[in-house]
Amino acid sequence: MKKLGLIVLAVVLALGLVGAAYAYWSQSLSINGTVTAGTVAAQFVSTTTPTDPYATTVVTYPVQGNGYTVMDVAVTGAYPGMNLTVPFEVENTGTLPVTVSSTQAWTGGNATLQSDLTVTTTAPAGTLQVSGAFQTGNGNVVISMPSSVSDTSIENQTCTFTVTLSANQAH
Amino acid sequence: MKKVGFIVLAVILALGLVGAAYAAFSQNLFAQANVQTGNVSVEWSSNTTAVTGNNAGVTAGGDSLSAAVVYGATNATDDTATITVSNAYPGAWVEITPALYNAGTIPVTVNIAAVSSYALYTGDLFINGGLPAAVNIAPGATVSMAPFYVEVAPSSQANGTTLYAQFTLNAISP
Repeated sequence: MKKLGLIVLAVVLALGLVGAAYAYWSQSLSINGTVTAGTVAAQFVSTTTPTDPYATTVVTYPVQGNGYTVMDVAVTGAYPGMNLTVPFEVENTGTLPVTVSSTQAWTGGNATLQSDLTVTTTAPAGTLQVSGAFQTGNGNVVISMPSSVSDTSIENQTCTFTVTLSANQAH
Repeated sequence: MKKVGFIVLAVILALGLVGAAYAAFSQNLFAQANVQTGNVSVEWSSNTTAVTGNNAGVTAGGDSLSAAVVYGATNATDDTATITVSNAYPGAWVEITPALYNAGTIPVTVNIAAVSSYALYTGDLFINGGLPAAVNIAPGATVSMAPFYVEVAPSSQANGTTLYAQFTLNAISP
């Protein structure tokens, strides 16, 4: 009987301890997390227009919803022997460093003229940073027609092409 | 079993890495170009002159010798100029000074050539001294070539008749 009383006492004491523990004051701290994604954004910066003795080049930058993301180049008076370098400058306007690559495709016009023209694009080299001296990079599109071209059927003809510059997040 | 779990973990990690690479942000810029060619177009200028005369000791015909130049239509494929020698007689000549206009958009080198017909090839007329050397002409410019002489042949029986000579232009971009 004495042993039983001891056990009951122990249980009561244990429950008392537990009750005391639950009765302690307490406070909670919380961490509220907000994550906003960065952006990859780039646009053209107006630069010099090429000059040629006989071909005229007009470069415009129509405003788009996301900045100057289009550069329109109009060349008139192209001729055999022409070698026109159209420079462009790309500015990183996002929050992440980017690298730039290019692809080119004919989009219309005289097929013979397309075959007689050579278009070479050099994208800005390296990584464009989000600020500082390396926020912008220079590239160019070279449009040339060999002086060996003698097909007069391409006189006063037009063709079009688009160079797509992809600004990709630098890893 | 432990080995299989390790492999599965490695595959999941690898796919995660690939997924991260494809998920990188990007944006495209577009350079849109329109290229239009120019053209080669050369015309005879109205500044071309034709002056008549006759060799020393030659008796002029009864009627007055004269010469005129008629050009092909401008901006057309007709690049000829026709020299008309009226009241011709042996020993008479026409001094022609061609003037050419570059109506195209690029510089050209131009020479002239005789058309293989007309009196030049029947022997009634001949070119005394050859045709002038080629000239370079900038777009929009008019250039006079050196003069050359078209002469009535001494053997011609063309007394008092009208003779024709025709010339055409050959223009090439430099």
